[in-house]
Amino acid sequence: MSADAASKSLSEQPGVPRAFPALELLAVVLVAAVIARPHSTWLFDSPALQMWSTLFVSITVQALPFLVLGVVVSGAVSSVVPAGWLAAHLPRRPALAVGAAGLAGVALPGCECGSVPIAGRLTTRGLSHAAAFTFMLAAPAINPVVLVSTAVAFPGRPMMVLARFGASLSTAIAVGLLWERFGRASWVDSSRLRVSEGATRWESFADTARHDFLHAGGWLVVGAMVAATLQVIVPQSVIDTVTGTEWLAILALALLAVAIAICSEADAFVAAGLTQFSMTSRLVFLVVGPAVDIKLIALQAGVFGRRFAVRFAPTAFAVAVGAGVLFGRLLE
Amino acid sequence: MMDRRAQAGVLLAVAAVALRLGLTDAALAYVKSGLRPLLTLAGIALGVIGASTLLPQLRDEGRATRADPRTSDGTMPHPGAGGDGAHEPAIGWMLVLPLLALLLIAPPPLGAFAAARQSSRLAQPSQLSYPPLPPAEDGTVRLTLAEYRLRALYDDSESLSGARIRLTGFVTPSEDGEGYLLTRFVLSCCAADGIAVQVRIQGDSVARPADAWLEVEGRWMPTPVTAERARGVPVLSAQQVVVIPAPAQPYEY
Repeated sequence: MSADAASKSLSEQPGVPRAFPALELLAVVLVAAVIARPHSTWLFDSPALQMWSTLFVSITVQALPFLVLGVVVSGAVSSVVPAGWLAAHLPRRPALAVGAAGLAGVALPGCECGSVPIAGRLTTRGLSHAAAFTFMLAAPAINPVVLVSTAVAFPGRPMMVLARFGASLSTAIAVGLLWERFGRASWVDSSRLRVSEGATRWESFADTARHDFLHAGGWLVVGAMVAATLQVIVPQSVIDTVTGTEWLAILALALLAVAIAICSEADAFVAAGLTQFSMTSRLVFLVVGPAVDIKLIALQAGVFGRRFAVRFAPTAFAVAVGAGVLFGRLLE
Repeated sequence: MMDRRAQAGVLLAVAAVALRLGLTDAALAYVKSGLRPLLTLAGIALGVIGASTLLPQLRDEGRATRADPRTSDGTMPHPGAGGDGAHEPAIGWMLVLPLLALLLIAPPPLGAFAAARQSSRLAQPSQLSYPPLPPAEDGTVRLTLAEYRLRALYDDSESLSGARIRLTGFVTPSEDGEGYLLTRFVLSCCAADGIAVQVRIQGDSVARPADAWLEVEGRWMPTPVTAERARGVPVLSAQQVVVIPAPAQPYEY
């Protein structure tokens, strides 16, 4: 493993006193894990723990390439786009900027994990918070990959794609406008978005990408752990019992979307499988998922701070449910 | 807190695991094979970023005793030993957890335990007639469990009748004790959205342990309109059952 090789070459360096040999410790722990594995299987043979770890690892691994794409774009934004450039080139009227940001979300094919660091980085380049949050909500929900996978998952129901597009774009724009009207800049912890002006373009790219990866990635892992735990401990039978009542079904699928935290590119297939539920409640599932879920809340807390996350997530949730119910009328 | 070297170490460790998942079949227990090239690219990108963080650190530490003009101008992002501007909060350490889970637990593909926990939530198709079966090899037609299920339950033209079918899956014990359920998870994205597709195997007198992988050849039995049909579980009457090693690709897509 490369960390191992790195620590070996480090040990040949002249000793520099350090408070905490974190890198060496990391290398030792990883090597110890490799050595311990044949002797530790009895510790981990509980089927529930194995199922949990499979779900945890698979959510993390599935999100990883999209997160890396996100932080690479984020690093590129920081090294190529001059500070303040966006503010100078976007529409001055806040409402227009929010609308433009929502439509710009169509252009970024990726999961929601990538859009959070990108939105954070765009704010350091002069994009208003409202427009950045609109972009963050729109990009994972209405990009071409997601719309195509929705069409594939619901064959013969083109209205589902249209309703999803409309409801998600409305959610993104409505939340952006709400922020414009009521939001406070002090809720966003901008110290987490350290602006690094490296000596060269490459340095400021690598510095930003590394910073964003460690923040967003760390929180992604927290979110994946919670989502895996919920999937293992909440029995499916609980979900099956709520399908009878429409408002209960809508609420249940909205909460399910928050809890299971699957990619926006996959959620349409899961929704297609929820055949006991009404079309409206399944649309709500598709609109809420890319806007608010456990791993996104964790990611947003990591990028924008906790004070932001506790206000933003409930707002986005309420707006997304409302938009889903409204556009659901197209489907029934 | 994480100093710069630790940050680089975490990045390089994640990069190494991403490359391993991208270049081997190990990823197939968690995600679809189509993600593997993306994992490889992600590993390369993280490796480059991690190395470009670590190498200047090593160079600076090598010259730590000499005056280094490049650290005195205040614009360089590698402050060397004792620098504090580049510390990141401890949350980045969480990235080590999935690595440890992979190394220590080596999570297996979803199996009988996960399948038994999930009540069926499979889509009923809108399509009600199916193209003819693919051509038989050695007298048997190989089908995925997902395709067998659709044809067995919903095909008005009964394309399965008379054909000898071969299915591959693992054993999930049946709750009512009659036969067992041959099972395969179908992924749309990753294992977290896997849905278990099951076919009840009848006529196999051997007791099969849970999670054993089997290749079953047999014939379609029309499913009576019962609760089982409503749950979407078709039946195969087994003629030959072979125990096989777990396949490299445990899921159907």
